[in-house]
Amino acid sequence: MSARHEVVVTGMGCVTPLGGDASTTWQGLRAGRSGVRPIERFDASGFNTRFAGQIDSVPALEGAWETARARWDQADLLDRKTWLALVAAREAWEQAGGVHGGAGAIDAPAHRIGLSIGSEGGRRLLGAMAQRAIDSRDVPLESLLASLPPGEWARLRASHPTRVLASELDIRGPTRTVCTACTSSGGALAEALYLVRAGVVDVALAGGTDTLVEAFMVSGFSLLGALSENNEAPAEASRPFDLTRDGFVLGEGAGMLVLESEAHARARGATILGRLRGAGLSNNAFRITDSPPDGEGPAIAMRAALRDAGVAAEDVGYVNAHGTSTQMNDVSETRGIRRALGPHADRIAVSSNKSMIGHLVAACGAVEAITTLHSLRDSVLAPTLNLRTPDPECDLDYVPGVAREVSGGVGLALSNAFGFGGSNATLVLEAP
Amino acid sequence: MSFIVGVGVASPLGLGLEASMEGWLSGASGLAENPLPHEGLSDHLAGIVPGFRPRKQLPDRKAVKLMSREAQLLVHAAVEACGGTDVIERLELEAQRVGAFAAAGYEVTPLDEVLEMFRRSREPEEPTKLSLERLFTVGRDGYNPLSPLKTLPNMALFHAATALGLRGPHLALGSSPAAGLAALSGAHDALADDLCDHALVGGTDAQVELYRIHYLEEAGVLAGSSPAEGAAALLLAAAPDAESPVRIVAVGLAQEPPAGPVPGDHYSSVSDRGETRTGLYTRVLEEAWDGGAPPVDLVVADLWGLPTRDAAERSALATVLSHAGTDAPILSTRPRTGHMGAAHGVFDVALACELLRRGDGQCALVTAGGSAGDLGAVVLHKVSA
Repeated sequence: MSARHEVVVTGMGCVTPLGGDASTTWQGLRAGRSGVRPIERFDASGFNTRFAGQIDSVPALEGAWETARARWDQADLLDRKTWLALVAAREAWEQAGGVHGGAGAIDAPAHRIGLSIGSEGGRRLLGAMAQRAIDSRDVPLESLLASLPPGEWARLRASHPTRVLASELDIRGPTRTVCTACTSSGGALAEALYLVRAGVVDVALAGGTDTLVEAFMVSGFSLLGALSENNEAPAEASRPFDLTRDGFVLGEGAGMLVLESEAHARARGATILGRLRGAGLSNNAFRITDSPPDGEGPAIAMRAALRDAGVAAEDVGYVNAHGTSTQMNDVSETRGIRRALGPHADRIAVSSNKSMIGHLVAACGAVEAITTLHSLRDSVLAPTLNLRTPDPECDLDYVPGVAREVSGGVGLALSNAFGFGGSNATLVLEAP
Repeated sequence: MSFIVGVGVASPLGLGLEASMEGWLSGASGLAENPLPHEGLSDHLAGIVPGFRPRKQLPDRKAVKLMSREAQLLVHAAVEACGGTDVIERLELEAQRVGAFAAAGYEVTPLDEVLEMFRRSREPEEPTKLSLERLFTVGRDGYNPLSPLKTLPNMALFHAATALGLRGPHLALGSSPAAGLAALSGAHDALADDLCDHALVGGTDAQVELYRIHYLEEAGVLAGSSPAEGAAALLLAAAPDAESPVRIVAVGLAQEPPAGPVPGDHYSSVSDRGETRTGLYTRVLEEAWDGGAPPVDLVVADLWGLPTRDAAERSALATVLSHAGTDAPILSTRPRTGHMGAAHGVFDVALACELLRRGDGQCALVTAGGSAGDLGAVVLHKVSA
């Protein structure tokens, strides 16, 4: 492997239940505002869970970006996850200096720009069939498959946002679509980090997108018993690490970051927003939906990330937790943090953004990396909302209820993502 | 640099590496009449892995019912590549230092399960119609809650990693033949970066299924290749073993300028006539030569039987092979295996590796492309004993 490049962040963009851009999302999080509310996009009145982290209005695009969005839409090739990806990518790309159709001030040839996107596809096809069956009540079930409109297959694929972004930004370097459920965008960022660090590319756009607030998805996760059913108080439903937690809250959103070698960023005078120091990936090799009770799988990812970054546990000041609000995950993650950080775990703060925006699944790793970088920039830790009754098995400092200002800087931060199928991803982030 | 120390294959040519190689070397075809309804489709053949009985042939019979066909195929290939499920103990490895990287298929729930759910959701008074209310009450009770988990593309890799006890870096990539080479690239880089000591690389897909056949028809793929299923797996190591003298010298990925929003034209619109491919293959071959590899004398190419795509590929290969002064034979596997989707890239690497091992050359270039314009290329070199 050639020289190891330091990797910095020069662009960030997101769209979440709290806002249509990174700044609004961060302001909502630090204010302890919840983006979880009753589902309005479809009739959920018969469901056990009737709320979600829903994006009520996708921010409008302008100029060439809007022309591009409309072109894909008119060709029946724009699904919601790709739309959100485009919105988040525009914000990140333009902040870094890019323009629609090319690198612009990012100043790198197309083949030296990589693209790494976390996304999911297949379950949407099932959802599309169900929706089609619902909408087209005169279509016999036996004809359902053939009745799907042209383009349905292509736009529902996990790789579709990758294809659209590569096309609209003219990216010609290595591209990949990472599909590891809830760790998809954490894994996508890790892969982009490795590409930039190894000098394969100068710049990479990396992130994730997901939109599971759909009838079939809400029903499916509800069937698994994974969702909170606190319909009386949706904003209080996601309560990671609380003794009374009863499941996670589905959300939707997208997050994108522009990663760049520090040398390249400095040479062109880019503003450095933060650093991605390292990443660690692992698998639990345990059970299909269960987290290992001892937290060892997540611990392997956290230890690997620290080793990859060349830092010690004592350098960490904050963990942006996966913190889903399920009984199993939160205990497993707590134990994993203790295993990875040892006694230092008692000296750090841990909080979960999912208490306010819900679980963005394939997008959560990227969005939470962005909010973590805002935490490091402002020396403010977003709270874990709704944590009122401590769980004796979750015994760390979770920043309950209100944001916390940290004097003297946070230090390094870990951002965790763990997923169905036992995949784990941890990122090591640092202020500029 | 990394070394291929194990290979496993489940292809229409045969179940297992030896059977697949026998099929390949004998000139056999793995294609037969598609057992699924295919009236009106462009292609009536399909490639199905012969003799595959998951409940009898996979290590954990109980786990089989939780696996999609892709997962079953990948587990079979992965166990073969690792020489058994005891690879961690037998090779005295650290589980967290063994990674797992794979490309998986189109992530869909088996149609029969969906239709069963829909059948249960019919309006009693109008049995051809679906009732929303019943879908989420009676219908969903007829649906295995774990079924959606079969559709996550990382589940195939989860089952393979769990069967083998692998706990290191873990990455599942989206459904394209080039995704297999992206998985290979991820593993190769992880070994070089000391993130792990060994890595399983896999690709798997099961396209002989109604959903996928309809997709392939809409996308125009069936005009060139038959739908097929299969899986391939490689065990990579940072150091060679005595029996596996094939090393990976260079891996590269690139993005062709994808077709814009053209409905129904996802595979054939290669807009740059092979220029991106030429650039990628040139870079990978230069890296291989810098790494001490001899000239390429075998190519397994990204040929789909689709005129525009294949013209771009042939043009790129002609340019780089001419520049290298070699007239290496160019193989295409799809005419005899069908299109194995996300399995195809790794399958072609496995085939090239075995051909080199058996003396059919010293250095091979394998290329793969996907529907989103993603491209991959790898150079293998048989190291002298």
